[in-house]
Amino acid sequence: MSTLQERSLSFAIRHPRVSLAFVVVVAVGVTLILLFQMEQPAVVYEEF
Amino acid sequence: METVIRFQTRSSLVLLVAILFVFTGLAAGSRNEAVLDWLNPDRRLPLEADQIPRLADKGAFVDVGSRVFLNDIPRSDFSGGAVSLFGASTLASAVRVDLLPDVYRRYTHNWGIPAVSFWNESQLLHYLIDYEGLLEAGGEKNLVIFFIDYANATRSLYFKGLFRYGVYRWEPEGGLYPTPEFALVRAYIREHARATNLLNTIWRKYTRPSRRKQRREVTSELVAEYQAAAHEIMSTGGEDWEAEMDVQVGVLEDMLDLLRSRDVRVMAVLMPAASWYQEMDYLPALRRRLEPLFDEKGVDLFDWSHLLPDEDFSDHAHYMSSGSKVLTEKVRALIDDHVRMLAREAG
Repeated sequence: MSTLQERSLSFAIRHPRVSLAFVVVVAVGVTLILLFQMEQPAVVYEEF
Repeated sequence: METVIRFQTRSSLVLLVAILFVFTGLAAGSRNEAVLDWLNPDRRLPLEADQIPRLADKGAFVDVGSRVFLNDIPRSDFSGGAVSLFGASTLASAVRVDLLPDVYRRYTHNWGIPAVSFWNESQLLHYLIDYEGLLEAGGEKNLVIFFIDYANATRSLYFKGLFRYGVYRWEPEGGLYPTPEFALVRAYIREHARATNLLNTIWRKYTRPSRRKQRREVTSELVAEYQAAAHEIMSTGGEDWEAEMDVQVGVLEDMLDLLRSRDVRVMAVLMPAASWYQEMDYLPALRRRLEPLFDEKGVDLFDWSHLLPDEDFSDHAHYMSSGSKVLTEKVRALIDDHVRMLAREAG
């Protein structure tokens, strides 16, 4: 029985483009989410 | 094994490129005119378009103050002289420098920040002079105009929130300074803050689709609400609002002395106030302090407090586009001589 890591590597080697696309989607998504949730607006008078 | 190493190297590089791509995309997006138009379709609307409440254009930022500190200040060029407009949200939203002809836009900076006190304006003024080179072209090439509301003469709860990003260091009883990091690190912190602002602005565009406020019918209940809010604003400096007003006017006096000692041309304007503020004590009390002060310093004080009828107010203190049009034109007339002089000297 192979480990999860071995199975992922084996998948990555067989399907490199799919794996890289996955890396890109995760990297972009995580970066956007982290940047988004870091903002703490000054709430008073923000409408002006 | 070699295949695994190659894949891991490649995926690490792809990861890095993806993160950099997000950062550069957001940095470019927050500066792109088409993106700004998409975020706020009203921003280029001519002031005579219709009778609508005018909000300040926040650009790609969640509030006006963040736009001033993260965008306007770092992108300013004072090398040919400047016209600096200091004031609160009434100035920020009403005086539309962006709608003036190019020659005015080149030199004029609207530093209007919601709910600032004279103390906050003094911190900003000192910062601009000491760290951004506001007077680098020489004091005589600078014109500073203070746009004064009664609420300038108390303490602000809003100002400190603008320094949450770490680009500036703000001391409540001291000054405003750049953080001591290397320029590259500061640039990174600033871009980071711009990115968070852009993402949140996009989110708000869809979660709060109505940026345009509706004007409420003025009833006696609404006037009572506005006046109660004014009492609350003026009590932020403590129960004795007149003592705090004296302190704040003292700070204004220091600014006038500083600017005059550097040969800067100075003017001041009492901003239009609606009838519900005219009948309260705060504005007359401020006027009683300002008139002798400006007389003594030989600085022009323009009293525009009765300039606009109540119909030109969109809420307790801000203006409809009709009021904004009147004010923008009057400011244009006020700065006209100075702007033309700067343009002439620039050739």
